[in-house]
Amino acid sequence: MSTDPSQAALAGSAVYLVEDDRAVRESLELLLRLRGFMPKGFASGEEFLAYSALQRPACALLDVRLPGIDGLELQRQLRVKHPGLPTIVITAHGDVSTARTALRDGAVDFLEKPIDEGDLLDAVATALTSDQRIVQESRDREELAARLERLTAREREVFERITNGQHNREIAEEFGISPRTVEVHRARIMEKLRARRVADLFRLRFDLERNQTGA
Amino acid sequence: MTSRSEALAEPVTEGAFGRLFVRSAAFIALYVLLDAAAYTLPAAPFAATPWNPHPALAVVLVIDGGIWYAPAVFAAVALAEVLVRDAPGTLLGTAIACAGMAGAYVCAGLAVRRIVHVPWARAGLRDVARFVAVAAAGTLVAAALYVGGYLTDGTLDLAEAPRVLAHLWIGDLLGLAVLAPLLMLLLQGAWRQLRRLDRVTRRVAVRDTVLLIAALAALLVVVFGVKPFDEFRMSYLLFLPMIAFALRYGLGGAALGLPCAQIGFILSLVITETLSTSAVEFQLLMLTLAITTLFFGALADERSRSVEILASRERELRVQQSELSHAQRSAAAAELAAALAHELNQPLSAIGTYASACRVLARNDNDREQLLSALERVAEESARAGQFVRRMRDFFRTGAAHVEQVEVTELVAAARDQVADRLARSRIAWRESIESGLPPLPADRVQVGTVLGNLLGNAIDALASSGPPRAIEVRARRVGNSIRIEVRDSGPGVPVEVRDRLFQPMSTSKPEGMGLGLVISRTIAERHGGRLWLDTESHQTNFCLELPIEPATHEH
Repeated sequence: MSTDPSQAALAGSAVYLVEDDRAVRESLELLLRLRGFMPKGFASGEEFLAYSALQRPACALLDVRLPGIDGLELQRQLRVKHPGLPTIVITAHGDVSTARTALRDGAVDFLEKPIDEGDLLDAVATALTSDQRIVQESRDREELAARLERLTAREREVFERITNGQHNREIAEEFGISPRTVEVHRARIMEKLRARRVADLFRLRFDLERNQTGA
Repeated sequence: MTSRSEALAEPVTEGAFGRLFVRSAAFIALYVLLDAAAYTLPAAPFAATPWNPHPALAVVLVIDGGIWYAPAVFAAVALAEVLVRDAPGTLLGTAIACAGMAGAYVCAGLAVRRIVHVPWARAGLRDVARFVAVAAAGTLVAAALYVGGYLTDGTLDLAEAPRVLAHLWIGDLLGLAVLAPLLMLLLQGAWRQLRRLDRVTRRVAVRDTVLLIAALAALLVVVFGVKPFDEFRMSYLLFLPMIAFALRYGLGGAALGLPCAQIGFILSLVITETLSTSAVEFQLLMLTLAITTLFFGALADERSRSVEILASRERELRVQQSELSHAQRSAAAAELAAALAHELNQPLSAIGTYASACRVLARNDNDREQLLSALERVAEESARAGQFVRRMRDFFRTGAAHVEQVEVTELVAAARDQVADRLARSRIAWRESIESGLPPLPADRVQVGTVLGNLLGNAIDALASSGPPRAIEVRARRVGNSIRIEVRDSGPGVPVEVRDRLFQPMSTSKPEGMGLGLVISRTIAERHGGRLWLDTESHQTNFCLELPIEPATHEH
């Protein structure tokens, strides 16, 4: 894993930092900025939850001990508010049960104070890489959905039959149209979905179904 | 029963068989001798003897050795009848009388063996009562069978029978009550226990025994020699030294004292020749004395055993308590250490991160400005850590309390001086109402000052976020035997969810605050025998410190 964000193409990614101790927060902000990230600090969980300009890909560094809602509770609420946002939990001193709870609730990593720079950058890089993939996947999903939107009702039906493995003639018989018309539909579908080969259609169908069951 | 008697209750092995024989023979000889000695006093065959010590020998032998000694008892009774009393009846009558008597002794011995489960050295009131009951029943049956035997062959006249029966019964019972306890103690190894005593205790015991004998002798001389009234009127005086001795030395003392009293009594009767006229009165008096003394002895033993048990329980309890308080102390120390680690971790973490940043900045000359500012922050954080350490040291340095009489007004004034600058800077009004005529507090000036300073510091911190008018009020008044000092601020009050963990070391709602303050303050208050708490009735923050006017009694 690289500790240099420029190489990992992570430069400029947002790192959100929730830490009530001003000195700890500001020192981390400075270091992360110097390492090419875009850190933004918050003194409490409530403040971070109220923040509306969140950008992705990003990750969140959460101190466990916070005034008001604590880091673990914040982590749970973030899962609802910003699904998929990778979190890194900071514990004061090797608190095993806290770390275990944080990891079980989906934290990417946990760091112990005093924070080692190498550990910090590794964890942030891992979290950002993970979020990049998440963001990319969701973008792909959205794009695919948008492309499917452009199909007409009949085209959608024909798309389903083709990707079920049916031949043009079977499809033509089922809908009472000529095989030639099916050919025309197929060409339109390929164009709208930006598929070059029939195999691309099968992959799209597969992605579509995975998104429907997985998301 | 002792292990020795248990072994004899088992089927007899070869080695034990020899011992059984030797002990049986010795017993028979001793039995006949004692019977003869007791029988020298009366003249006629059925005349009353003052006491019969030999049945005690038979019963104790069976108690100690079990059924295996039954033949010896039968043999001894028969032999004594022939040798001492010339077998006054026919063969059948003598046989019935002897067999009945011996059988009753054996049964009495076996009964005691069954129902008294402890060695005599540890016998209680109930054991003594059971023994007396069995002895009374056993000797009555023995006397009845003996008299019955001689009635069958006409040796004994029916009219004579009740008198002979009564004499025999009371004589046997007296013998048992006076002699059996001592014999049982000796057989069960009480002598060895006596030898284990230290020299001083032993010397005191010997001295007391001599004193008892002297007292008994003196009383007997007064009762029988000086004779202020007729011979028995004053006999009850003998109870005094006997009961005193039994209370002092328990059942063992009673067992030792009774034969002494008995012998002294008989000697007195013989010397003054009052025996024949008042045998029954003497027997009943002696029997009462014996049973009373035995009961008192058992009572004293039970009492000292209870005292011992109580003392050992108390010792255990004290050990448990000290362990508990140690555990509490180490738990408190662990919490304290965790809190300390946390408080130091914050500046340390910031310093480390700034240092990492500086490493990056130092590579580039253009970042000089930023580098300097980061280094500035490193110095600040280091100072913050140092300040924390100093505050901790101040707390711990005051560990050993120097309690003196301190005026409440002085304490409050000193605490106010501590925070005077901050009060002025934050424009916080100071109000003070201290009840006049308060007595001085026995307190450690520095420690209580630390508590008040901490409470004031908290109040100022709390007011930082609230708008004017800001005020802190300190009140002091007497409540019962304590003085209560209240520190109240005009801030928003402590949120309900924070109240519960306010006094836990890890809780702090202040960014740069020190979560330990209240924990240590409460410890100091408790060390002074007082309390520190948050008044939850008040909607504003109101901490109450209550310290007793009497000095704290417990040390930590």
